[in-house]
Amino acid sequence: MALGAGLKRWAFGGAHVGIVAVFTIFSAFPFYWMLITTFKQTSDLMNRSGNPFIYNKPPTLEHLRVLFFDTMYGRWLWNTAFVGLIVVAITLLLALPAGYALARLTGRWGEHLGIAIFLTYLVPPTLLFIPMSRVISDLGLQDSLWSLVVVYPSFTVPFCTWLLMGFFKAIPRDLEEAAMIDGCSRFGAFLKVVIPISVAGILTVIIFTFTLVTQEFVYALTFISSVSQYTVSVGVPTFLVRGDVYFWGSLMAACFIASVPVAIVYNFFVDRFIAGFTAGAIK
Amino acid sequence: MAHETVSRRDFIRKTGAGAVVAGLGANIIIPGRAGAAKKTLKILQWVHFVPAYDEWFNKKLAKEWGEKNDTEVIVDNIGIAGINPRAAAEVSAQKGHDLFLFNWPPPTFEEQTVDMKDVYQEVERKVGKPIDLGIKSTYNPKTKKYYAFSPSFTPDPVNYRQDLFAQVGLPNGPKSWDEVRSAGAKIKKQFGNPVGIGLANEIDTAMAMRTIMYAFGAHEQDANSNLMLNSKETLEAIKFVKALFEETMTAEVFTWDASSNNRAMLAGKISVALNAISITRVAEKENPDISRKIQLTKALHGPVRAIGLEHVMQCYVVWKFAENIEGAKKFLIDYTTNFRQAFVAGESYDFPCFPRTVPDLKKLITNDPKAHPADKYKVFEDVLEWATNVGYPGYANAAIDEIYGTWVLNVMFAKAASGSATPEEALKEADAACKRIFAKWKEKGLV
Amino acid sequence: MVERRASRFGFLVDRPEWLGPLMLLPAVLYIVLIVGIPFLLALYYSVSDITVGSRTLGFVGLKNFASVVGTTKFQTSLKNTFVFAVVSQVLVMVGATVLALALMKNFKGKWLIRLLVLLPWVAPMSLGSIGWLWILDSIYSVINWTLQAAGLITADTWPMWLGVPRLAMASVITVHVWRLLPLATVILMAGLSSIPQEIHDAAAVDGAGFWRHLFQITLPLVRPIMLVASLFGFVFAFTDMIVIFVLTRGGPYDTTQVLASLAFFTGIQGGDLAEGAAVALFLFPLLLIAAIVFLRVARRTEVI
Repeated sequence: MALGAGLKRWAFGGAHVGIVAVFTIFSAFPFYWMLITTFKQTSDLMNRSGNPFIYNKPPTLEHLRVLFFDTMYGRWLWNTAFVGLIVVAITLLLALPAGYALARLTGRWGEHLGIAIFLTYLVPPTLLFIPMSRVISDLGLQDSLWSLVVVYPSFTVPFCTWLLMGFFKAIPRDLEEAAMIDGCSRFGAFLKVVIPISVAGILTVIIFTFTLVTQEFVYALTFISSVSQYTVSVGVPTFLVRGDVYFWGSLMAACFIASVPVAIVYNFFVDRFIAGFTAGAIK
Repeated sequence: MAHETVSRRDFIRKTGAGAVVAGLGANIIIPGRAGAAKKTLKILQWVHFVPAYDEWFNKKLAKEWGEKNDTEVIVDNIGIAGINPRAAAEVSAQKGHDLFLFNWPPPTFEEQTVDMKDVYQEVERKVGKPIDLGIKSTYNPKTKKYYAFSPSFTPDPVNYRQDLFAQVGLPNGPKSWDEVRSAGAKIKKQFGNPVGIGLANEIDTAMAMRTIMYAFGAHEQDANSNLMLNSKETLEAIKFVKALFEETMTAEVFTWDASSNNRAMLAGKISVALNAISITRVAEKENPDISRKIQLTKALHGPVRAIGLEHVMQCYVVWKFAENIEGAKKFLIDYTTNFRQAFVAGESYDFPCFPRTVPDLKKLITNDPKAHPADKYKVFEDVLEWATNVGYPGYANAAIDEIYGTWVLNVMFAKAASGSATPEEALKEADAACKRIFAKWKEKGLV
Repeated sequence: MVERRASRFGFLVDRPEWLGPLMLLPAVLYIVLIVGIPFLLALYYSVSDITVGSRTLGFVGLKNFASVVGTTKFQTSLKNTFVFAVVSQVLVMVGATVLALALMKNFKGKWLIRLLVLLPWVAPMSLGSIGWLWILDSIYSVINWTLQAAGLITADTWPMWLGVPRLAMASVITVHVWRLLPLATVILMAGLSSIPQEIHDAAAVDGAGFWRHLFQITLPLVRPIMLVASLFGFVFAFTDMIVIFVLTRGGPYDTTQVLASLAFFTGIQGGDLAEGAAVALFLFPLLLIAAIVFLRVARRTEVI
C-alpha cells in the first residue's frame, strides 16, 4: 500500500517535471535564440559551417548600437508603454463596472448590449481600419498617439468586460450581501468588497490589455506615419527590414528587450494571485 | 537612419500631446513659431533599401528644396508592407500626404489621384521623353489618365555564381533560360548548388515568373487589355518551370520570402537568383569574397524574346484631397529633372525613367567604386531597353494589379512545379481566376 | 475620486434598477461611439462595390459573395481557416489546462519557469513571428541544424518547414499556439485561484480522486471564464493573420492561405475592397452565432 502510493507519487512527480520541461522549452527557446542572435556578428550568423549555438566569432554589440542609435527604439518603447498604460486605465474604468453589471445586475437587455459590444471583434482589424481611419481623421487625431489611445479600448473593453463577468460570478453573493446589510450601498459593496477580492481578474485584464496594445499592428501602421510616433511593433520592422534585407541581430534584440521586463512584471502579478491559492485543487 | 524625420512638427505634436487631452494635440499653437504662414509639403515613401538614399532625400534634398520654395517639407518613411494599407486609410480619411510613393503601379487608386499629364509634359519639355516602361506603369488608356508619375524604376537582373558557371563551360554566365536549366542541373549535380528562383507567395517570385512567361511569349493580357493567359505559350512556360524546378532546384524555393534569395545567394548556396542589386550591394559590404563570385547578366533569352522586369517601380501619386497639390507637382518635377543626384545617392539602385536625366549613366555604372569588378553593373547600360512592366505588352491596370496582389500566377507555377497539380490544371485554375478578376474590373470601368 | 463619485450619484446607485444601466452604459457608449459606425460600414462594404480607390458605396447585394465562393482560392482558404483555427484552439485549450494545473503546484524554480512560459505572450507579435521566421529559415534553421547534428537527418533531407504544405500548416499552427498559450494559461490560473478553498476542502472530505476532482469540481467552476477565453481565442484565430502574413503569406501555393489573409490580399493589396470585405466577413454569421451561444451560456452558468 505504502509502496504503491510512493510509486504513484513518484510517477506523478515525473510526469509533472516532464510536462513543465516540455512547455518551458517550447515557450522559451525562441527567446534564448533571440538572445544568442543579438550578440552575434552578422558574418557569424550567416556562417553555415559553424555550430550556431556558440559564438564562432567574438560577440558584438553592433546590433544593439544599430537598434538604439540608428533607430528611435527607445522612443518607440516609451510610446508603447505610454499608450499601453492609458489604455489599461480606460479599460479597467469601463470594463470593471460593466462586467459587474453583467454578472449581477442586468437582465436580458443588459446581456443583449453586452453581446452587441462583443461583436466588434468579429470584424478583423485588417478590414475595420479603413472606416476607422475616417473617424480618426474626423477627430483630428491622425498621426498622433492619441488615435491609438482612443481606438485600442474598443477591442480590449468588450473582452475584458466578459472576462471580468466570469470572475465576478465566482464570488459568493453572500459577501456582498453581508456588506450591504452592514449599510453599504450596492455600488459601495462593489467598490469595497468585490473589487478587492477580484485581484486575479483585474491583473489578468491588465496582462491581457497591455499586451494586446503592444502587439497591435494594423491600426498603428495606418494611423501613424511619423517615425517619432511609432510603437515598437510597427517601428522596428519598418526600419530593420529594409527592402529585402532583414537586420536579424537588431530585430531579435528589439523583440527580446521589449518582452522580458514586461514578462517579469506579469510574473509578479501571477504570483500575487496564485499566492492566495493553496494547491488544494490538485493535490 | 531614423532621426532625420523628427521634424519640428513632431516636437510640437509631442508637446501638444503631453499638455492637452485627446483631440487638441494636433491643433495647439506654439507661440513664436516663425513662418507659420509657410506652406508645407508632406511626402510619404518607403524606407529605401539604401540607407544613404533616405539620408540624402530627407536631410538634404527635402531641406534644400524647402528653403528654395519657402515650404516646410516633411518626409515620412514607411515599410513596404505598409504602403497599400496606408494608402487605403488616407483615401478613406481623405487626408494624408501630398506626395505618396507606391513601389508598384497603383491603378486601383486612379479615382483618387490627380492627373499627372502636366507633370509628364513639363518634365518631357525639360529633359526629353520617358521610356515606355514608365508610361505603361502610370497611364490608363481606357480613361486616358496619368494616374501616377514614375521618375524611376529598379531593374531585376540575373545574379549568377560566376565561379560555378565557369566550371560548367559558361564563364560569362547563362544567356538563355535553357542554359540556366542545363548548366543549373550540372552545377547542382557536381557541386550541390541548386538554382534559386522562388516559387512562393512573394514579389521576387512574382517578377521571376513573369520574366519567364514573357520570354516564352506568354502574357496575362495583350496590348489592349484583353486577357490571354490561356495559351500554349503559357503552358510551355509552366512546363519549363516545372522541369527547371525538378532538375535544378530544391523544395526550399517554396518557403521563401523576398529576403530569402538574398540570403541563399550570400550564403553561397544557390547558383542563380533574380533580384534587384540588393544582393550584390550587401555582398560588397559584408562578404567581399562572395561579392567577387556573384556577377550579373542581362535578361535571359527564351524561345520568343529576352526580356526583364522592373523589380520596383517608383510611382508617385498626388491625392486629389492633398492640401498642396501644386507644391507636390513642383517637387516631383524638380526631383525628376535632377534625377542624377538620386541615382548616385541610391547607389545605382534606381534607374531613371527619363534617360537624359542621367547622361553619364554608362560611365557611372562601368566604374562603380564598390563593385568587384568595378564594371559589374555595366550590364545595365541598355537596361532601359530590356526592362518592362507587369502586364506587358499592355498597361499595368487594375486587373493585372489584383492578379499580382493575390499571387495568382505564383500559385499557378508553384502548384505545377510541386506536382500538386498538372500544368494544364494549374493553368486552367489560374485562367478562371484571371477571367473573373478581369470581368470585375472591366465592369468597374477601370480596365 | 471613486468615493466622490459614489456619493454624488448616491441617490441613483442605491436603486438597483438604475445601477445596472449606469455601470454598463459607459462601456457600451464608448464602443458604440468609436466603433459603431465603422463596424456597420465594414459590414456594408461586403455588399457594396467599393474599391480601395473609391468612396462611393453602390449596393450590389450578395454579388461579391456569389462571385468569390466558387473560386478555388476561396474554397482552399475556407478549409485552411477551419483547420488552422480549430486545431490551434484545441491545442491551446488542452495545453493551457495541463500547463496551468502543473504551474499551480509548488516546486523549485517555479518563478523562473513561469517567467519563461509567459514570455511568448508579451513579445510584440510582428517581431515574435520574425523570430520564428529565423528559426524556421530554409538555410539557417537551428532546428534543422540540431536534428542534423543529432544524426536524425542529413543535409539533403532538411525538412522545409514553410515549404511543404503539411509542415507549413503545422508551423503556422505551432507559432499561433506558442503565442496564445501563455494567455490562456494565465486566465485559467487566475480562474483556478479564484475558486474558494472551502469547495476543495469539501471535495477532499468526500474523497474525490484527482480526475474526478478536476472534471467534476475544478473545471466546471471556471467554465464562465474558460468560455469567454476560448471564444476570444476562436475569434482571434479566425480573424488574425499576422503569423501567416509574416511566415508564409499563404504559401506554399495557398496551402496556408486563410480567409483573413486572403481578404487582405484581395481587398488591400489587390484593391477590391468589397470582395475583400466579403471574404473577411464570410464567417461572420457563424462567429455571430458562436459568440451569442458562448456568451449566453457563460453568463447564465450559475457558479455558486
